Amino acid sequence: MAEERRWYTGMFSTEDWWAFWLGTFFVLLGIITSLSGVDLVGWIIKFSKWVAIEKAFRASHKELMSPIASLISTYIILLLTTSVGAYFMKWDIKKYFGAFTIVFWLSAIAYIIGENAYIAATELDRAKYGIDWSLSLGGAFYIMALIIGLIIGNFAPKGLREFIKLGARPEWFIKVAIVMLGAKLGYLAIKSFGYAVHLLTAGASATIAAYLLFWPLAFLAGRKLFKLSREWAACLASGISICGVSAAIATAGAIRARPIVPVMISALIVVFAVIELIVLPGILAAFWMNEPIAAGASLGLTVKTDGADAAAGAILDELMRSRAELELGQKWEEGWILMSAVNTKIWIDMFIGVWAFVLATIWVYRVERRPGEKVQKMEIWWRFPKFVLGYFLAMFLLLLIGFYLYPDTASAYKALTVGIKPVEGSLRKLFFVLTFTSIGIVTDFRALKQEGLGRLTAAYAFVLAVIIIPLGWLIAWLFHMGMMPPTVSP
Amino acid sequence: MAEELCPTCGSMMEIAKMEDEDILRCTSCGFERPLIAVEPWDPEIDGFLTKYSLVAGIIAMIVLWAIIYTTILVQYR
Repeated sequence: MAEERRWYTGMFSTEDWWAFWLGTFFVLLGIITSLSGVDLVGWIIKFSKWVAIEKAFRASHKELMSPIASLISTYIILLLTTSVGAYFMKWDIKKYFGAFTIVFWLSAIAYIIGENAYIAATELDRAKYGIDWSLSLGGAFYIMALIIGLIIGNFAPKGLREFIKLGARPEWFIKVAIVMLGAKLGYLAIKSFGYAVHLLTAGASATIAAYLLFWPLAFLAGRKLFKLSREWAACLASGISICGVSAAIATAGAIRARPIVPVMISALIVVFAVIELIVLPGILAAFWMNEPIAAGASLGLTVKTDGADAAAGAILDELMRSRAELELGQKWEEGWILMSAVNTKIWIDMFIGVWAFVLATIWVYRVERRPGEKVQKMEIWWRFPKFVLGYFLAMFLLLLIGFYLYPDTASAYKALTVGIKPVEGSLRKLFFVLTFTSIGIVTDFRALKQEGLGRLTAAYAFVLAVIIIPLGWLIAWLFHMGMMPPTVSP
Repeated sequence: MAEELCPTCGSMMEIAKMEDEDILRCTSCGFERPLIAVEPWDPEIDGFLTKYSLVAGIIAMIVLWAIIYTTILVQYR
């Protein structure tokens, strides 16, 4: 007999909930450090631009331990904390230990190489590092991690590839990072509260408008132009309009599509999201410098996996801030463009459950007319992305502490920096790099060559290029026009 | 790639090519079915899904944009 689902079902057995637990755990460590003065986060590794290798990384609170001790401590603590989640999710712990170890060290190597000053330093940084040339590739460490991952995912022997995949969990790692990003939003909102509220509200509105337009247009194109049957067109429309793999699976469940439908569409979503991640940040940074927040928001509307969206947002943030500093002489605060990308994405994520419920209702009562059958409203909660709770919890905790425990925002900001900065900065970026490496490892471009994907690939590519991306850009601009990231105070 | 079970014998079906069409073929009994079935456009169902969602999208976009523009974006012009 199937286990009855309750509101708390999956609390200790799903990746989504474990992103909530882990992300919240690290944010709480930061908060306790700030409030009590007991240093629980100083061990976190902080990578920096370097010319001499000994400057490549150090402990966040460098008086606490040596750089090597910090790197090893970070590895051990991340291995143990993620293994707790892996244990409860009933993964093979021994294999996870080995696979995560490989993913961690590959990510650390990519991070160090990508932060070399000759690669990463901007023109303005060169004097600081005593160099006379550099490639000015901000965020190169992300690309480096992705390339290393893609090489393994596409060229390593099958046995090794499958083994490493056990520790390469892009969606899990990025969700943990997004909870930490909630802490960053709360921390920055202490200084720029109105701006943060504006960003959240505009993002939510853009998302509602976008997916209500994306879905019917994608469905129409699938049905009319590519002659897909209703089950294929509906799952493809949800996957490409709402939130990728989760939405395709949720829709397939809601309309009772054959199991093969969401699986094939998910393969396409993952591959196309990586292509978007590689292509879109460069295009947006080159042509949309006057609307950085809209550009970030557009990524959330058009890149269909959480990992690839946040990854693309992180690259865009680096690229645009470098250009702004160099060409406009403006120093934009780090993270707002990324938060804009993540903001629209998490709103879309939240609508998966609602949309699955709506489609299930339409299918039961109108399409298939199944008499006597009812659609449970709890579906909305079961399909709600739980890590989003962590994002908002972290944000509100920081805001409450900042506004109520300190006499003014300046002292709150200063006090919270000690504990929160290592978590929302260094650790979050490390989780981003782990995500990039993992995305590369799990992305197998050979999937596109498989039998049966021809017409679907054409439909997906057409809808993405002709409907989703242009319309996503338009809606992102309409709802964020004129918004610029706050600048760094001198 | 996950496969589908044969409705007649329960064995695994695999994707195969027949002329220009992709089909699912049972590896055991040979039962075949189209991967993507031909399903003509039904105005009552497909039209309903498309029309109402599009109308809701357009209305939502206009209303939400008007609210966001007048309350938030106007401050950034």
